Amino acid sequence: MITYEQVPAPVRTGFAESHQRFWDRLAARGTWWTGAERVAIAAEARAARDCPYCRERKAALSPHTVSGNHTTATDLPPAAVEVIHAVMTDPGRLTRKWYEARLADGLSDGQYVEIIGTVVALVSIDRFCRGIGVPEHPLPAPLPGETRRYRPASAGPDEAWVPMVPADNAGTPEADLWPAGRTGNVIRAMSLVPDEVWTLNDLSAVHYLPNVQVRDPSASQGALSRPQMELIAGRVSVLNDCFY
Amino acid sequence: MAHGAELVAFAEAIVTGAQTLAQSRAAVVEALGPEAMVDAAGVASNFERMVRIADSTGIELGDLLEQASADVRDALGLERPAGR
Repeated sequence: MITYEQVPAPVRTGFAESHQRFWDRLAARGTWWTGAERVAIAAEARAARDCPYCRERKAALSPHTVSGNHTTATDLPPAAVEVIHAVMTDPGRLTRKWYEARLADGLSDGQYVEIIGTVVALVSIDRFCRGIGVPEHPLPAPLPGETRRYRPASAGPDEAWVPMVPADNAGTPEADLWPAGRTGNVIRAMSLVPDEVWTLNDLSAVHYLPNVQVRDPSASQGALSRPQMELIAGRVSVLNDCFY
Repeated sequence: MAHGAELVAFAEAIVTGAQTLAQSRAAVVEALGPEAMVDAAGVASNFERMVRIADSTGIELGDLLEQASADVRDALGLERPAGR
């Protein structure tokens, strides 16, 4: 079980609880990737930080001027490895053309979104551990089971490279992911794989704010004021060169 | 903002993995307390997630955010480069 009791500082119980929920999901069959593949995605994400090819691309004026191969830790398909490493090490320079090339390499859009959801959840938990000064949690042992292969009927072309469920999700099986008609694109971004939105909401509610409170400027959580929270958020966004 | 410098330094160290992390963590604890340090780590790590979602899915700002941020983006000269 994930615990932060060893940390010499009070850690809200929600952190361990939400991180454990993701760890349990990580090990289990996903929508488009098996439990073993999902854990491999996480292992590959952690390995990306030591990849010389990634370091070289990151340092280059343009990532497209660098050729080479990733140093991998798993047997995942090359297209999946490219997505994982790029999202981990140089997300600010990804393009639609790059995304479409991954589909041409054989990934489905659903597989792509599930990789993103897995990688970003992992990185947030690993960075939290780094921040509070504890080791990263060992990855879980994968569980058997066939993939669910669920695709929301309402998902389609939208304000993104990937298909999304419309903001007005009333009356759909995805109605519980956000209040109908009231959400940002960053929440809808992974709605092609609804479980990834569920995880996003679960982690964000503890790390930052519940989604329904984000647009209330007076809302805050924990020991920081809202301006202090936004200062941190803005700085992290700048460091990652994020336009959104 | 009170103790903004400490919070920024801590966030930077979390993102970059800098060797100053322990020092910056201690500075936040001293300035704001241990609970605030944990919460700061929570927010920083949250946005390590969110920026990657935004950048890897190519989402647009959306009507509401586009309207709300128009003045700031205009003042700062921020527009998404063509081709993204």
